[in-house]
Amino acid sequence: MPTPVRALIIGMLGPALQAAGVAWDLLEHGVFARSEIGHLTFEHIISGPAHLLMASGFAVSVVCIPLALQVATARPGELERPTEDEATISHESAFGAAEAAE
Amino acid sequence: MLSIDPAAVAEALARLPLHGGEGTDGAVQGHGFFGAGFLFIGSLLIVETLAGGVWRRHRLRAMLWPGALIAASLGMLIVSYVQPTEKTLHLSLAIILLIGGYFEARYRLGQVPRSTADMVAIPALVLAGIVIGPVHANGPMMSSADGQMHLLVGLVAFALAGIRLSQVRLGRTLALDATFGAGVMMLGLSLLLVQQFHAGH
Repeated sequence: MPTPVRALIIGMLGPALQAAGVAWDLLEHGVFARSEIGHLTFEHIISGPAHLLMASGFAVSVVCIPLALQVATARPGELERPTEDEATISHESAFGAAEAAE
Repeated sequence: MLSIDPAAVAEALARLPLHGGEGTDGAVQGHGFFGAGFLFIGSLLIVETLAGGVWRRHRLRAMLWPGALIAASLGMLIVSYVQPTEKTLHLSLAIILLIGGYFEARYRLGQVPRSTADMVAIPALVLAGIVIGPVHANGPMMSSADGQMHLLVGLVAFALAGIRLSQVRLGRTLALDATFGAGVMMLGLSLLLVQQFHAGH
C-alpha cells in the first residue's frame, strides 16, 4: 500500500468516527426521537452511544493525526510490518543492544 | 438552557458502572463505555497494522492492546461488584479479559510464542461469545431488540475467534491483522448498539 494512502487512512480514521457519531446523533434526535431533545439529561450526554462514538473518534484523532504525519514522512522500509519473531519488545531490545554494540 | 446540578452530577458518576436497563431505573448503562473502549482500541489495532515500524518507535504503544484488555477486565470487575444482578456472569467476563490481556502482554514482551497466546485467545473469545450472547441477553432472545443486540455481540466475538484461527492457519498477513482490528471495532459498535436498544434508553 502506498505511503500517502496509509497516512491518509491513519489520519482520517478518527475524524471518520466522529462524523459517524454526529450522523448517528442527528438521526436519533432529528428523525427517530425528536421529542427527546427537550428532555436531555446529563446521563444521556455522557452515556449516549452517539456521543461515545464521537468521543472515541476524538481520542483516536489525538493519537493518530501526529502518527499520520510520522508515517507520511517515514522511509518505505520503516513501514514494513515486523515478522512474528520481531514483533515483540524483547526482540527489539536485543536488536537495539546489538546495534549499540556495533 | 441546560443547568447542571453538582449533586446530580456526583450521583450520576457514582452510578456509572451500573448496567442499567429494566429493574434499575435511571441507572447509566455500562455497555456504551466498554463499546467506546473497544472501538478506540480496535482503531488503534488497524493503525498499528498500517503504520508498521513507525508504530513501534514508542515501545509503550505495543502494550496498548493488552493494557486495554486488562483495563476492560478491571472495569468488568467493578461492574460485577457494583451491579446486584448477574455477578457470576460479569466476573467470568472479567476473568476471561484478564487472562487474554495477560497472555497478549506476555507475547508482546517476548515471553511466550504467538501460538501459546492464540491457544488462550481463541477459546477465550468463543467462551466470551457464549457468555455475552445467549447467556447475557435479557428478555426474549429473538423477539426483543436488546436480546438480538446481545446476540450480535456474541457473534462478533465468535467472528474474532475465527479470524485468530485463520491467522494460525494462514499466518499473519496485513489483511488478517487489519480484519482483526476491524472486528474489535465491530465489537465496540455492537456494544454501542446494545446501549442504544437497551430497555430504558
